[in-house]
Amino acid sequence: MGRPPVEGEQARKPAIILLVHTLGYRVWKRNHMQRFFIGRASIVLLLYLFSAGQVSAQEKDSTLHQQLSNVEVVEKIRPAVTRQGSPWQLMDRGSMDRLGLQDLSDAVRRFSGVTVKDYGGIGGLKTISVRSLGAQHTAVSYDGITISDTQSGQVDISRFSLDNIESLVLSIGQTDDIFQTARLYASAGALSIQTEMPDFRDRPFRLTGRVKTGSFGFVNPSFRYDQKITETYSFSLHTDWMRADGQYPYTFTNGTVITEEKRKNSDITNFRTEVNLYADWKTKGTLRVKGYWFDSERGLPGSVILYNDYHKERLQNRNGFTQALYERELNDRFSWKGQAKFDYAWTRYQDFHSKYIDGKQTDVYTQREYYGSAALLYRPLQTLSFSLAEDFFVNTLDATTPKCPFPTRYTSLTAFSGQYQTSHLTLTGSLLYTYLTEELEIGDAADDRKRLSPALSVSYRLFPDQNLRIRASYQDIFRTPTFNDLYYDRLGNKELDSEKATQYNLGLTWSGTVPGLRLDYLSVTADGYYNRVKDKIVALPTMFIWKMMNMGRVDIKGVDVNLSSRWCLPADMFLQIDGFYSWQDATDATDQTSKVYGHQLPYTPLHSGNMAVSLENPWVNVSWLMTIMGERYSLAQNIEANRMDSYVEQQISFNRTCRLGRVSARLSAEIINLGNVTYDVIRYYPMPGRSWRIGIMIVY
Amino acid sequence: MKKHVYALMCALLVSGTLFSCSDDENGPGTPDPVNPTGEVKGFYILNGGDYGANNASISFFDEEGKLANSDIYSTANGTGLGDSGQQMILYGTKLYVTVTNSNRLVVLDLDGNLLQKIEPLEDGQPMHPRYMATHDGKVYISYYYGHAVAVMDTTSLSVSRVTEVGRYPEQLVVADGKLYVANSGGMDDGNYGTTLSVVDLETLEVEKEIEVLINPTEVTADSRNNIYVISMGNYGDIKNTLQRIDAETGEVDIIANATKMTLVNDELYTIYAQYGEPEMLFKKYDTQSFDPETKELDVVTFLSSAPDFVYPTLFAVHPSTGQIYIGDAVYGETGSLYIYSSAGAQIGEVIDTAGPSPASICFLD
Repeated sequence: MGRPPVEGEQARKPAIILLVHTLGYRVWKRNHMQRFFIGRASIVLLLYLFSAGQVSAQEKDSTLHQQLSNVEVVEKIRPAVTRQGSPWQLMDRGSMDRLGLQDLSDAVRRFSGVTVKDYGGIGGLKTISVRSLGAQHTAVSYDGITISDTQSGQVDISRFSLDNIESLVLSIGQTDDIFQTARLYASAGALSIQTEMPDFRDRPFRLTGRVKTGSFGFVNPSFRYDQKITETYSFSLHTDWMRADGQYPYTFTNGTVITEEKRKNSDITNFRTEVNLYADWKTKGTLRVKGYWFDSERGLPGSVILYNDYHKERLQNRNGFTQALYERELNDRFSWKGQAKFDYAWTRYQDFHSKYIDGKQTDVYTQREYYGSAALLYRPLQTLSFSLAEDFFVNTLDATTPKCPFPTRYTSLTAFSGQYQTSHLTLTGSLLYTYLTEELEIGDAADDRKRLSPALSVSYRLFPDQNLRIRASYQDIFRTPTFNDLYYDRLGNKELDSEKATQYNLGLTWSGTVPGLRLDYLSVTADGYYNRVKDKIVALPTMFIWKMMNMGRVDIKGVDVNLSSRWCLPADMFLQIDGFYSWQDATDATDQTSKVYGHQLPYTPLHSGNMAVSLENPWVNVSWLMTIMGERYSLAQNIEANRMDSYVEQQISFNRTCRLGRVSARLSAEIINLGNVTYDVIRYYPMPGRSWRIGIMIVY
Repeated sequence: MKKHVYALMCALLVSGTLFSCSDDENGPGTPDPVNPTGEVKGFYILNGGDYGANNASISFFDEEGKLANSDIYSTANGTGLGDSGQQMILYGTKLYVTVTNSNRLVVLDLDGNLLQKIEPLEDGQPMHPRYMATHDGKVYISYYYGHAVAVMDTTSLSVSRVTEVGRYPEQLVVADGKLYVANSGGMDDGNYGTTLSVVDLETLEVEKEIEVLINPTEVTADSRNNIYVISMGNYGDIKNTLQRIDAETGEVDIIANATKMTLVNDELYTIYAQYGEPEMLFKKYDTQSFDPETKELDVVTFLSSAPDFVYPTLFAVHPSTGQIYIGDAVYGETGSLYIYSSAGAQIGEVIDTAGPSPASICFLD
């Protein structure tokens, strides 16, 4: 318990965090973790709450207390999951390493309320949707700035590596952190990705080298270099390269005939590099500048088509962006931050067949985004704070597809929010004003859009001696049609309205410990929700052509129960058990006379769950993960022909960290799909059977 | 003319029952009592399925329109029919079905048992059989991705010849010793085709091209070998249009707007369902009433009150009873079949076709 934490180890017990109460501010500053808190006072408040219940345990052992005061605590502070006014889930670096997760979709699957649409394989497209609202309602942000795709509205999360990620936060509705960009208020759910900041302990630099290899020709070396230049400036460089042939075997059933097949045209090669510069001018603020480049080329294996095995499509993606964040606390009342980003995304799609003139079809899409944001935080009182954020951004699309009108969209988002926070009550309200205008190089653009979106959340601690809170939240949000929705040749519809969603959530959260059990902590959250979607944008076929229309209404009801616990076992061992269960009833409510009225939406299971059990010990850490997916329907009509069986997918991972002088080495091994279950997330996109992965990480 | 050929065929292959299909093929056969046939009368529906969902199927209904078997292919063969069923015809004693996205043409007996499958590849690339026309014991098939027409002999059930035609050929019809193929150019990014290829049945060579409006898809012929073409246009300013090619003069005349058609007993039934138009029009033209001066045909509305069809993918008229069959498709749902009398009154209730996107109907009676 007294040894300093080693790279990648699970977060410390909350007992230490009590002590951090006093060291808290220094540690916080060292780690530059201003993200989740509104001011020093709230950290203290938060730590007090998080460790409430631990106090009595600690006071009994005064010797422990003395030992701890000599320890240099360098732990990262986790905000209290249970305190948030809206459902909020966190996965930190320690958990990602402990569970042996490979990519972002693997990690996101462990959050409740999220559906990952996985089109198979290592390079397959993966999009996320929160509480059945659809991928276009879910924002993905990378170090504070939203990643956008104005063309399709969906972010393919398969392109992010987990290697340099510090934390993932999934928030539904408005979050309690009001000091952020207006854009993060503009979606029903947000996945916030935070990269790892350099951590210079005893040395002004750090070198991390990783190599992973596994089934289906998977190889992934990566490298990270952090260097402290002066007390004020530092930088980090992260590079990784990955390839896989992706030709995994799968079992395919066609009626009574079962065959063994191999996934073809499923190879992928990825290259990523990221440079970050950090400047900490103490009272004059902090600056962070990032450059990112991503290049990938992959085959699109497509869906399995009976009797027709021809798939030759290729996809190439190049994405480069640069973003800067400047934050400054002016005094203990005012803080402000400014952000800017330029993003360039180039996509080339190719298909090869003699049917095309020249034997191939090439479509190239180029998107650009220019983004700027400024936010001001005003705290007139300890308990009261207000934030005003203004985002302005421009998106353009150039495509070689027929009749591309070369649209440009100008968006202004203004978010005003206020928060009243005491030790037992947090009340947050916000109002987002969206103004959007577009122009086309060819033709008339769609009408301007303006909309006001309110959100309100409250979290109330019911009893002074128990960390039991009740929370309720409401959000009225929408998503604008994408460029494809509006302007795609023949399919697009300029008359489209925005798709509107209203979310209501009511929940209970509790964290603490149970006397008599060897529990380090236990936290439970249970939320019931109701969402309504109106004017849902869907593609409908009408007389030989498909057209985007506002045709849908959807009613979504659900319950998410999350549990997180950590148990102390003898011989310096810990048992971490995390899991969730979701119940979701998402039905079509468009037209009472239609055949699908009241039917469950496609790919929405009624029941789903996840569990992760880790045993940490001084020899080899073991984690066992399980995903349970209930029955789903592949099409809108809930008939037997469309029903997809439920499945259980399990994974096991092992890791061990050794220290050899100044170098630490971490070895890891995973077996994915332990039971070799044949399953599809999206029908006819088969997922791999049992496979393995091993990796080694060296830190100097 | 077409009718006489098939009547002749009936005489040649005399057995018992008379069959008919939406494309007016006639021929007798000896059905097997196990599956849907025997003395059972009724109709087959090809449900095309949803693209990529591998759910094309053939369902069989009895005379009263009651579902007898929702998937005769699976029941008979234990496997799925495939993805994107395009067309089904009943010729002789066999069902011929093109399942385009699965790159196959299957030949089935009346119980659905697989007799032959044609899965055309050229250099390993799928050719995508699309539509069929029959004549004199041969089935002519358009290869959508192959930009060609294949000839299959119905006795050997094998493809004997492939002839190049225009780009992305759709429907085809035989008239007066010639095969007319609509070259839609549909997947060429807006560069639609503008011709029908005329293939001589003797030489199986393209002898000429006929200029029509852009994007021709449907083609049929009357008893005097006048050809009727529907060009879909560009889904913008050029609308779905019906044209007539005179058998004598070869002149192409625009008749009216139409999206789908079926020609039975020299009556041309059409549905006009252009996206963006306020309502669908159901018009019937008398093909024998053509006025060379005004270039018009006598027309009546055959359905005055119809429900709001979403996407009428199946459109057929029974050659004997004159009943009109319209199958409506809503994405992700099973199709709905509406039956109307020749006077335009709905007969019975709406029938669920047991599969999505009903495409073709074949009558056993």
